[in-house]
Amino acid sequence: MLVYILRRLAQSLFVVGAMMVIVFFGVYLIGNPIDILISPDASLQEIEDTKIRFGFDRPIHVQFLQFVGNAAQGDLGRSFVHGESAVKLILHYMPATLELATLGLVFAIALGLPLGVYAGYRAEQWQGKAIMTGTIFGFSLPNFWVGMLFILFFSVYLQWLPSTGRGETVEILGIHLSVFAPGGLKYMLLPALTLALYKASLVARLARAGTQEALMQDYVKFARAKGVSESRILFVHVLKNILIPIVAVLGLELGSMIAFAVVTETVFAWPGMGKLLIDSITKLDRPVIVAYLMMTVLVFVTINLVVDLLYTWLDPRVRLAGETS
Amino acid sequence: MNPSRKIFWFLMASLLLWVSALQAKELRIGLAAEPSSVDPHFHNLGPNNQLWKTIFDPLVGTDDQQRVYPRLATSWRAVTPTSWEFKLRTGVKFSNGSTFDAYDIIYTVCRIPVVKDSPSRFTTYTKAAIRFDVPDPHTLIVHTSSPYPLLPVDFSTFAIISAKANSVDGKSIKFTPDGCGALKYPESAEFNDGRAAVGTGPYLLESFRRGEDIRLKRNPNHWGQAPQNETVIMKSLTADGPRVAALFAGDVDLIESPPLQDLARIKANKNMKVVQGISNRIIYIHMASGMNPAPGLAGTGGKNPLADVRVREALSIAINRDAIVSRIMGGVAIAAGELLPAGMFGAHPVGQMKPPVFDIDRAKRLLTEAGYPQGFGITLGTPNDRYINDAQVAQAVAQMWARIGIKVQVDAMTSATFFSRRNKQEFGVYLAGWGSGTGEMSSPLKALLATPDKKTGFGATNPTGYSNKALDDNLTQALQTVDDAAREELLRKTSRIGMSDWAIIPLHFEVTPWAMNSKFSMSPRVDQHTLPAEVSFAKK
Amino acid sequence: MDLLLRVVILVVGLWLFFRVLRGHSHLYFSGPMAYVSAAMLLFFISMALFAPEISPQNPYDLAQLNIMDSRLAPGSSSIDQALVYHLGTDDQGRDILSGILYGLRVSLTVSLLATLVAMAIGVIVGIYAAWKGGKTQAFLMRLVDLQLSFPSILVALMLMASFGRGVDKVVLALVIVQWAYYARTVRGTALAETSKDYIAAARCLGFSDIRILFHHLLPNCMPPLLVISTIQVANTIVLESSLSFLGVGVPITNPSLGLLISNGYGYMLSGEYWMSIYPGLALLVIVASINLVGDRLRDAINPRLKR
Repeated sequence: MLVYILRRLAQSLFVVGAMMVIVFFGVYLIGNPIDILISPDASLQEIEDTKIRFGFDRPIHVQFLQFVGNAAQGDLGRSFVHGESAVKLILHYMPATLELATLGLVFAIALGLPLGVYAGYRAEQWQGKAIMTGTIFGFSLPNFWVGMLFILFFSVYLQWLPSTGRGETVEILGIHLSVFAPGGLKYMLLPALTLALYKASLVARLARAGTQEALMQDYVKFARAKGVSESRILFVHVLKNILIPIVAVLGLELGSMIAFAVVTETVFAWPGMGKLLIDSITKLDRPVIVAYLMMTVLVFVTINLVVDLLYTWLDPRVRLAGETS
Repeated sequence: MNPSRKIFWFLMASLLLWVSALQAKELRIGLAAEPSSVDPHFHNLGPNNQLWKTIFDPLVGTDDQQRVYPRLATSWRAVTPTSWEFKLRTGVKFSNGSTFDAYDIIYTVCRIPVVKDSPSRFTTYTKAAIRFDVPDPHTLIVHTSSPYPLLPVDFSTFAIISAKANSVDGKSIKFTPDGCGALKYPESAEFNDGRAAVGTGPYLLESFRRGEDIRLKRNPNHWGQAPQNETVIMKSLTADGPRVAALFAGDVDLIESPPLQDLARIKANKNMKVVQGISNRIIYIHMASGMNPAPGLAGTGGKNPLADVRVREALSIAINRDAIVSRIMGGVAIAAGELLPAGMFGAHPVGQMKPPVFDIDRAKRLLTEAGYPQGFGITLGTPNDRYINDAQVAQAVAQMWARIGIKVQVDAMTSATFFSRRNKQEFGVYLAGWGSGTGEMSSPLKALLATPDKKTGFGATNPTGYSNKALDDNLTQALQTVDDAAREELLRKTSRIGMSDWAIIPLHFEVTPWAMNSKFSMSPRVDQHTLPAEVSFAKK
Repeated sequence: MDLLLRVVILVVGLWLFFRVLRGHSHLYFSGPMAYVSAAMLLFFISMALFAPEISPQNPYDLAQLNIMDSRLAPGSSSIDQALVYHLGTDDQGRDILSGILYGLRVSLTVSLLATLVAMAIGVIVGIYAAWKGGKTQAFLMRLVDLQLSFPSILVALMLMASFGRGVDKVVLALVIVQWAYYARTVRGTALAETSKDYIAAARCLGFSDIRILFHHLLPNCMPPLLVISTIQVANTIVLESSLSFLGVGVPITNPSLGLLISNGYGYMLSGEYWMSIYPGLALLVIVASINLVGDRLRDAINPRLKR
C-alpha cells in the first residue's frame, strides 16, 4: 500500500510538470497581458519598455526556462496585476473557498444521499418518481440563475440572510475561517446551498439507480428472510455497495468545487480562489494562472488518490495496480 | 428592578445605540472594480487611482469637471516656456507627523520609475521633468526640455509620498532624469498592510482585505475640510446583480455602476436615488483606413473601401446614435460629435460640434458613388466585458450597417484577447473606448488619430494606419503652446480636421451612474471616480 | 441545411430509438408518463430541426432585426406592425420565440455531439485502463488528472486563440473538458466489475479481450454512466452558455439557448423577465424530456433489473 501511494505521488510530479508546460504556452497563445494592463496614456515606447521589463521581448521558450529555473528554487513568480507573490495570493484566498466547498459537500450528501436511497426504495411509487423529477430541476438550471433567485428571495425579499460577501472570521491555527465564527455562518448558507444543489441532484440520482439494482440482489432477499429491519438493510448493506460511483463523482465534484467555483463565488461576492482564477484569466496574469493550476493538479491528484483508496475499503475485491492479491 | 424601570433602561439603551449609530456616520460603498494595490504608484488604473485619492494628495487636484484646482500646490505659473514654478501649501503634515515640503515631490518623482513589477508606471506623467530647483522648502521649480503646457495637469495624476516617513533626507536627493541613485523606497506590500500608507489625504487606511473590503477612517490631521463620513467601508462587489441586490438589501449605502436596466427600479424606490453625470469616456469605432490590405473585409476585390472618405462618412451616418442611446444605453449616454464632451478643455462649446445626422439614403448614395453599390462584407471586433454594453452596441451598429448593404460579422471577445489582437492590427473595424486621463482634448487626439511615432509618443492607440499630416502638425503645435486660450483654439482646430476627414466614428459619451441611499448625495465626477470625501449627507 | 436531409435525420433518429429498445418496448411504454415524455422530446427535436420553416423570424439575420423593437413585452407588435412578438424581444430586437427555436438547434447539436464524443472517448479510456492495469492504467489516469485540473474557460480560450472562432471549436473544447470525467467514473466501476466472477469465467472460457471488454464488461458499467450522461447533456448546454457568455463560444449574433439565458439574466432584476425566463423554461423542459426518456430507456434495457 505504501509503495502504491509513493508511486502515485511520483507520477503526480509528471502531471504537474505537464500542466506547467501547457498553461505557460497556452496563455502565451491567448495574448499579452501588458496590452490589457498598461494605462491607455502610455506611449509606444513605454509599452515596449514595460514589455522588456517583464521579459516579454524574449522568445517564449527562454521565458519558460527562466520560469522553471525560478520554480525549482521555490519562486513561482509575482502576479502581474497585484505585484504580490502568486503563491501568497492563492493561499490568501484558499481558506474561504475550502470552507465553502466543504460545507457545500456536506449539504449535498445530507440532502442527496437519503433522498436518493429512498427514491430507489420506492422507485415505482409516486415518492420515487417525484424525487426524480425534483432532481431534474437541480441540474438543469444554470448556477448563476439559481444563486440570483436565492438572493432575491432570501435577502432582498425576506431579509433573512445577507446577500453577499463573507462575514466575520476567527483565526484557527493561523487560518481565517468564518464557518466557526458567530455571525460568519449565515453568510455561507446561500452560496453553499447554491453549490450543493447540483451535486445533491447528482448524488440522489446515482443513489437511486444503485439502490434500485441493489434491492434486487440476493443478499437483500436473504437479509429480509433473516428478519433484518428495512432501515438497516437500506442504510448499512445497500449503502456500502452503491457508494463506489457516488464516491468517484463526489470526489470529482469536490475537486471542481474547490478549483472552479467561479460562478457561485462571483454571484455571492465570496472572496475565494475561483474568482481569483477568472480574474487572472481575463487579465492574462500568467504567474497566478500557472501557480493556480499547478495547485489544482495537486488537489485533483490527491482527491483521486484518496478516492482510489476508498474503493479498496468499500469493496475489498478491488485491487489497485501494484498490489499483490 | 421593577418591569417599568427595565423597560425604561431598555429604551435608553436602544436610543443610545441608535444615536451612536447616527454619530458613527459610516459610509458603505459597493465597488464595481477592486484596486489591485494600495501603493499609489504601482498601477495607473482607475480603481487604484480612486483609492489613493482618499489617502494621499496630488500636487494639483482635479474637480468633478476634471478641471485643475490647488491641492498640495496653492498656485503655479510658467516662469519661462520651459519651467514651471509651484508654490506649495504650508502647514501640511503627513499622517505620521512629518511635515510636507518640496523634497517630498522630488522623492516621489524619484520613486515612480523604480516601482517593482509595475504593469503600468506613472512615468508617462513624470518624464517631462528633467530638473528640479528648490529655492525654499515651499517652492518648487520644474524644468522641462521643451515647452510643456500640460505639466500641471500631469502633476495632478500621481500621489505625493513622504521622504521622511521612509527615512530619507530630502535635501540629499540628487535627481537626474535617469534616476536618483540608491535611495530607500517603500515596497508595494508595505502599503497594503498599512506601514507605508502615509499620506496627507482626508482618510487613513485602517485595513486592506483583498477580495473583501477596504476600511478607512477619517484623518484628524488633514489640512483641508474634514469629510462628513467618519468611517468608510469599500466592499468589493464586482458582479452587477449582487451589487444592486446589496443596495436593496441595505448592506451598502452607495454603489458604483449600477446596471443600466436597473436604474428605473432604483429611481422608483423612494429610499434610493440615482446620481449620474457625463464622463470623459468616448465609445468609438476605428477603421483601418490606412492599411492595405485591410483585414476582415470581403467582396471588395482586394481594395480597401475604408481608405475612401465617402465610405467612412457613409458608415458613420448610417448609425442611428439616438436609437443606441435610448434603446441600448437606456438614455444613460450622450451621442458624440467629437472625442471629448462639449464644454471640456479643447472641445467645442455645447451645440457647436453636433453628432453626425442619421441619414440612410445619403449613406447608400455615398457608397454607390465610392463604387460599392452592393456594399461589402466586414468583421467588427469588440470586447464584451470592458465598456458598458460594448457588445450590444456593436451588434446594434452591425444591424444598422446591414441596412445599407454592409454584411457584418460581429466578433465579440473578452478584453484579454481583444486588446492583443487590436494591437496586432487584426481588425478592419473595431469598437473601443477612450477616457481622457488629462481631462482635455489632446489625450484622445494624440492617442487615437495621430500618426504613430515612438519618439513623441503619438498614435499609441492608433493601429489603423490613419495618417493626416495637417492633424499631426496642428496637434504638435498645440502641445507646445503654453497659453491656455491659444492652445484650446488649436486643439479645437485639430479636432475639426479629424472629424471632417471622418477619421474615426465617435458614437457616444458614457454617462456614469451611481445609485445610493437617499440620505446621501454626491456630485458626479467626469473622471468616474467615487471619492468618499465628496459623499455628503443630502440636504433635506 | 437541406429540408430533405433534416427529414432523413429525424427518421434515422426514430429508427435508432426503437432499435435500442429492441424487444423491451413493452417495458419502456409502461405508463402514460412514458408516452408523454417521448412525445415531448420528439416535438422539441422536430421544432429544432424545422426551425427555419416554423419560426416567424430568422434571428440570425441582422437585416431582419430592428433595434427600435428591443425589449418589448410578450404580445407586442413590431414597429411596422408586420410581426407579433408572442414571447417578447430581447435587447437587440430579436423575437424570443424565434430565438428559442434557432437556439435549440445550436444548443442541442453542440451538447449532444460533445456528450457523445466525450463519452465514447472517456468510456474507452476508462475501461481500457481498468482492464490493463499497471503502467497503462497509471499513465491514462494521470492524463485524466491533468485534464480534470484544467478549467474549461482556459481550454476554450486557448483553442480559440489557436484555431479561431466556430461552433466546431466549441464542441472540441467541450469534448476536451469532459472526456476525463467519464473516464474516471467508468474506470472506478470497471475496477469493481473486473474482480467479479463473470469476468473470471469469461476469461476461463478463452474469450478474446475485446469481446470481454465490449460484450461483458461494458454493459455492466453502463448504468451509472447513463445516469451521468443524461445529466451531462444538460450540463454541457449550461457550460456552452458560460463559454459563449465569456465570448469564447458561439458568435453573439447566432445565440444558443444558453447565450439567450445569459444575455437576459441581467434584466431579470429589472422586471423584463421574458428575456431570460422563456429560454430558461425551454431549457428546463427539453432537459427534463431528455432525462425522462433517458431514465426510462435505462430502466427498460438494464439487464440487471429483473421484471
